[in-house]
Amino acid sequence: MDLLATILELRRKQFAHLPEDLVKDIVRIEIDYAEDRSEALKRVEQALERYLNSLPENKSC
Amino acid sequence: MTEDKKTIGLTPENRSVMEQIMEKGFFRDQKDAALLAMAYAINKEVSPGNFEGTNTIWNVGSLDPEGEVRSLVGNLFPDVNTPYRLAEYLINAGLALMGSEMATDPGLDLTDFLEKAQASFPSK
Amino acid sequence: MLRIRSVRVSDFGPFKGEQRIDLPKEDGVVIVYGENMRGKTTLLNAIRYALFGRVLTRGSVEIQLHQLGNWESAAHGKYGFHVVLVFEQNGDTYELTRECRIRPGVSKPASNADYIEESFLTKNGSAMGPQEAVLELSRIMPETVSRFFLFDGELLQQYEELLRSESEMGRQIKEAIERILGVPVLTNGRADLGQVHKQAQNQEAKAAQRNQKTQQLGNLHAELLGRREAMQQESTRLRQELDRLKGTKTAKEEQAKKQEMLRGLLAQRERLQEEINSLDRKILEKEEKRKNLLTSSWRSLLAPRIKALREDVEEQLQLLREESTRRFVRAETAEALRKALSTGRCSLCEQSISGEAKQHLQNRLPEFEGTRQSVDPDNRIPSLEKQVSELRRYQTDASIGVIQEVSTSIRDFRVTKATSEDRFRELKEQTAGLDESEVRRTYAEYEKAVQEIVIVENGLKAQDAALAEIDGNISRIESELDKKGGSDLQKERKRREIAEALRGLFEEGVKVYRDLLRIKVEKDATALFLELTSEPDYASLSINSSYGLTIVHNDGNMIPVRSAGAEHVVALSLMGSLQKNAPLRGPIIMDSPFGRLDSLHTRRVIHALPNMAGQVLLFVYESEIEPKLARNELKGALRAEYRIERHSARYSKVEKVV
Repeated sequence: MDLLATILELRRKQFAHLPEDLVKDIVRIEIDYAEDRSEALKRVEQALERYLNSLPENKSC
Repeated sequence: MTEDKKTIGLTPENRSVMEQIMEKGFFRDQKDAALLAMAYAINKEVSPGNFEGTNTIWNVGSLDPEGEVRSLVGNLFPDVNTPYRLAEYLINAGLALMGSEMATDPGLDLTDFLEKAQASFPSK
Repeated sequence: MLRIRSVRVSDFGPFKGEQRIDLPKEDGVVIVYGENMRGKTTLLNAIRYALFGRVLTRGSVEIQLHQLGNWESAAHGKYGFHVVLVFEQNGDTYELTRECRIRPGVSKPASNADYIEESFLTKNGSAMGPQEAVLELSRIMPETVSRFFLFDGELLQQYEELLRSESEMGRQIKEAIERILGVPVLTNGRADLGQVHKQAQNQEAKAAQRNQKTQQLGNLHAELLGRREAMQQESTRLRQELDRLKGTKTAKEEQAKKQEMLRGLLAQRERLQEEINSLDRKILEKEEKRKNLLTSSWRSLLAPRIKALREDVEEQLQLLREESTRRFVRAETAEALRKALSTGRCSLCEQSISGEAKQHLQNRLPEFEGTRQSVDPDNRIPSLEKQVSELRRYQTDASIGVIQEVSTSIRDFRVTKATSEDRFRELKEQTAGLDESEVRRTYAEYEKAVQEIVIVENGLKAQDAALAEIDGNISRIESELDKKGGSDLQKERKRREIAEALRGLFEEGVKVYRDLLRIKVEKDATALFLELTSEPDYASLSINSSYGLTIVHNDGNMIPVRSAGAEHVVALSLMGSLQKNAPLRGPIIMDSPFGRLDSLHTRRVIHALPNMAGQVLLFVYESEIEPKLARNELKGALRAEYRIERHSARYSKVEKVV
């Protein structure tokens, strides 16, 4: 039973507007930092910021 | 002619048997146990004899207030002139027999014993 | 997948000096045989100690470290111990050392304080820093899920708790199961993304406040967010309170049940006391009756004899009387004849008697004469009559049969009384110390918890309704901000939208994944269960929301109660299924798990072991599994055998069986 496959499949069916890479990153963070919740939260915030900053409309010239 | 007894006694051994019987709690009185022992001896048709060294327990007036025992022994043994002497013997003989039954079977229940004691008397 | 390569112990428990068990690279089963108290559980504990720094005894009680060193070595002044675990995961090789050495300056340690404990981890030959090592180990094998990899028969019994709703242990086990299945990845993700979304909303509100176009909306947004935060905190507090109250309610319920049972026992005890008293009275009554009957028993014994004697005497008397009457009649007749002969006339009819008649009478006279003698010269008749009268007096109603009946009654009553007294003694012990006021208090506390639960639940409902309303308002403000904010608030908006969507994805993911997992775990557990069980009428296992498994009969009915042996089989089926479905995989290390199983089920479990996990390490004693049986069932899957041999009471040695 693959957790990542399940969540990606769900993304594809119901949340297709969400970027797949970002979802993968968050799942990876939650796996790696299962025992360190504050670190996990920090890294999730960072992952989201990185994604937002990578968007063309948010890139500064 | 020998004079009949005015007291009834038990040998020390039979006294001890009497105590054992009374401990079982079936009898109200030692007198009841004594008369049963006597009846047992009669039914067992014990041979005549004598017990030496008896110590007085009852006088005949308290054991046999109505004279029933004397009359019965007299009737059953018409050749005997001293019914109380005979009664004393029969009581001691009966107790000795009961004592030996209890020695063989310490847990002997009185009602089992009564069943054994009932002689089948041939009827005409 | 985690794969153990070797376990090395030094002066650990009964293992004096350096000893090791090597496990092969390939999948398969390794069996370690050892009699009781030789160190099987200690070896399992060595692995537990290396990974988590703790050692547990039966009943999951932690053992103090200073008690773990080898006693024989300690007797020679050598204290402390270490364990080295070598394992692989995802192509990396790890060496984990954990040791306990005596503190400098201490000559004879007496407690944990006299030891220094250290651990270090190398990965592919390179040492890892302490924090890094801790994180790495918790990622490889979190302690909360160790129960699925390291266990004994006692631990298997605990899975029954999954069938009891609101049981604290059941809840803990369910959390551990979800942990191993990876569910927390999604629930933590949901929680973190919820936080991120909240922060994004706050950031958006602040940005809107800074912007003139959207300042008012921004202020309102910020205010609503602030209120919602307070309400959510209150919701959380109420939920925690509800959990606490439910726990109290369950505890009081269980207490009351136990007390109810005790109260029932108390009532039983009182009834028995009455019964015993009544029997005592009846026995006394019967004994009195028997004593009365026995007073006349000597008469009963002699009754047949007396009756026979009386009958004999009565017969004698009868004979004497008849003879006496006969003689009297004859004498009267002789007198009449003589008179007739002398008078020449009949005394009856006064007629003259002829000469011939006279002659006839004369001839007959001698027949009647000579009968004047008394038939009873000794006058026995009166004494016989007296004897009969005396003998008749010896009537008795007290038959031996009646005495025997009374005695039988007494015996029966005594037997009944003895049984009742036994039961009474048992009940007295069980109800010792029962305090009626305590029972009342328990009920009162239970009632109070129930009432408070209703209040809190209503409060939560109201809070949820209010939260829904405020969320609605917040959404409306955000829509307004989207329109009015334009490109100025674009990033903040995007952040919020993505965070919200991500949270939604993980929220949905939790439900979907849990449902899929339950289906899969149930299916895999059923497959394994049907391999393990010998009962042909068992069709499958059915899973509940806590991963508790109930056996389903062919007829579709659930089998609610099961033996300890069946419990173990179901628990092993769950273990095997979790191994198949968990993102985290590792070896199964079992200590004497076959205690409750019969030989047929033991054989089936052994046969199924290679299907349950890639690597299986079994600690057993020989009467649990015969080596020959294990070899037959496992064949090529049996990779190695070890035996723990006794050298002395405090020194065991691990030997490989060749």
